[in-house]
Amino acid sequence: MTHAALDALTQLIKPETLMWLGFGVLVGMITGLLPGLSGAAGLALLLPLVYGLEPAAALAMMVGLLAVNNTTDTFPSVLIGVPGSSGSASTILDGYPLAKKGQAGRALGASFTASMIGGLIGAFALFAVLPIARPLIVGIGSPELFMLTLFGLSMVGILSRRKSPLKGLIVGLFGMMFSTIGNAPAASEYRYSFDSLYLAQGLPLVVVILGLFAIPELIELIRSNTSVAGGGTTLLTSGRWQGAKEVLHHKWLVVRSSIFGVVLGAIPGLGGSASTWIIYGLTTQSYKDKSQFGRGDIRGVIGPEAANNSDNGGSLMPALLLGIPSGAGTAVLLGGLILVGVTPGPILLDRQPDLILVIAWSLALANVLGTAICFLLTKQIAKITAIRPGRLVPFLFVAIAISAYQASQKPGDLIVLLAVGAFGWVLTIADWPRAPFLIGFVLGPATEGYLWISMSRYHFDWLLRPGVIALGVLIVGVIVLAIRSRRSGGLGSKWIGAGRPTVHPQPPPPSPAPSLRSEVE
Amino acid sequence: MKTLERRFDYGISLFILAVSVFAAVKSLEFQPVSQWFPLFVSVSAAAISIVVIVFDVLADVRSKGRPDAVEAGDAEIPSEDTEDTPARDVLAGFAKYIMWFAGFAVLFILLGMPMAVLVWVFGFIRFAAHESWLRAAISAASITVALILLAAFLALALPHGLLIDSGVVIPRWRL
Repeated sequence: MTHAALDALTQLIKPETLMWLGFGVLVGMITGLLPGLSGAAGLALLLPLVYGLEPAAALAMMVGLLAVNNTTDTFPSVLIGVPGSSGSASTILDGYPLAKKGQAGRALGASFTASMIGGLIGAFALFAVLPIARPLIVGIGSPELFMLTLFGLSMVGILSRRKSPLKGLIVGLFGMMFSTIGNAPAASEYRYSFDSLYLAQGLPLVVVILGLFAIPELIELIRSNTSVAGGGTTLLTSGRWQGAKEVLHHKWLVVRSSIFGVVLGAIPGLGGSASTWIIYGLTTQSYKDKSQFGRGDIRGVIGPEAANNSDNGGSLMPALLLGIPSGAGTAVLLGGLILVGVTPGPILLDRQPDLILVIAWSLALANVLGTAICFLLTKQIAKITAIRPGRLVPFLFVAIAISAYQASQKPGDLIVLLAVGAFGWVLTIADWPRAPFLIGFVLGPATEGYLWISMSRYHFDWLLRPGVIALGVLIVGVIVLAIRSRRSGGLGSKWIGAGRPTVHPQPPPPSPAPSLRSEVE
Repeated sequence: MKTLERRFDYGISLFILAVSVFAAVKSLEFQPVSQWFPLFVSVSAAAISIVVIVFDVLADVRSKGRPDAVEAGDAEIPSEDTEDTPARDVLAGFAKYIMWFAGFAVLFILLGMPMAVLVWVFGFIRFAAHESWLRAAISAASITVALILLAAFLALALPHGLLIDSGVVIPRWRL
């Protein structure tokens, strides 16, 4: 294992691979800074660049972006009380009051350090799980994999739309339905193509991702047309090292939060925003003196920030090992893997385990690099939040349109981009989740493959396999539990909002993009 | 805004139901091996859509007559005079910017990348973002140059533009 890890490190430390990792880190830092632009949207922007790259370089770039997105999203949370992404929403509760007391530098220093340690623990967990998972996962049959993908989709659908779990589930199934457009995998037949050459090839993944995640965000950014932060870049540098030292003082909080972050991130649907709220709740409950939580307690910054970076390591486990993304970010990452010819899931684990180790190393290195940049360039990075969307959106949109056009180089790419973008915007405004659609779309071909193999090999007998029955019961149980929980006060109030009621939250200023809901990222 | 959300709620459920029913019926024309998966997915989506619509309707019916409002599930039915202004603004904002984006797509196809970017970015920054003429011109020029360099560096495929290819606007060699 050590030998394999060193081999993977050798693949990563090539100058070209490191350059792409650095590029991914820079883009991830910028998308983390701008509320509304999620890691998924940032990744979607990078997808056209992965064509033709070595798999290791492409992975390094994409993982680099995902790794640091939750490091820089702290800037807007601490400075102005607006979350850079849904994963940093709980940081506002203590980070923003600290900034109001003139201790923004302390809060940011603690956040960067906790994020880095959390990220390293997440990377180590991904590395450590390989030898245990490999013999287990390689032995799983197609019928069980089919049920596992349905289970993953159900979890994401249910947890990403906590007020009405079935709506998340429908969106996921709808995404799967769209994945069936085009060439059928098991027969020479075109489905739902309506004699269109463009549709006969199926909807391009890149275009769907860009439309679903980037276009609605751009519309909301430009509709608000106010800069995220004005002059709030003072007092940023003083106290950063004090914040870093406090993380070391609360080392057990960091370790505990990171481990919980890994575990919660590995459960499809619970990553991102949900896990940080749970960790915030656990943090507040684990100390006798709770009086300062919500009023500027540094522990309220350290716990969630460690968790939201370690969460990446956890969320990559089901994505890479089973091919089941736990949120929008990992769904886009899987899309990227497919574009460079890597099949996520048991095949990847069996045939190219070195790539998983490259990902673990990239995660670790990106966290260290991102933290170093944040410490060195705090003031300069904070200024990016002052750019007005009106100046930013045209550049982003042109980049998105050109990226989308690379998919099949037909005008249809732009039409689908805008149509899916409009659909994504409607989902956003109606508070329906978009992540399950993408996950359904990404999972669709693999799920159909598993179903087809199961039917061909076992006919309907596969339905009686113990693993299939167990997973079927689990899926039905999760759905019934979610509906019952919702009626009795909501899954959200029991799990997700664990930290929210116990504190004395400071009202944050209105978000520049109020209609963008937080969702599983 | 809440009312808009509610209307969209019904709209999305009905839209998914309609598409799912269509997909299920259409899938019956496929060969059996191509049929299983789309049929399974579309029938499941249609069935759950119906359940969701029934739940939403029941929630709305129960919430009617409650003076405090209205929260049934996520339902809210505010009075007509307070609801429409934000909803109209939201929709108008969306329509405005999606039209701008569609405009770029048209320019992109007709004029090709450099010209379309130059014209559209200038127009957007000046007229949609309301920045100064000078800033719009500088931004448009710099974004165009940056994208040309990026496209060259990454060997991205860019259309020349239908009008330019046919020589209607300006000869292609000038670009």
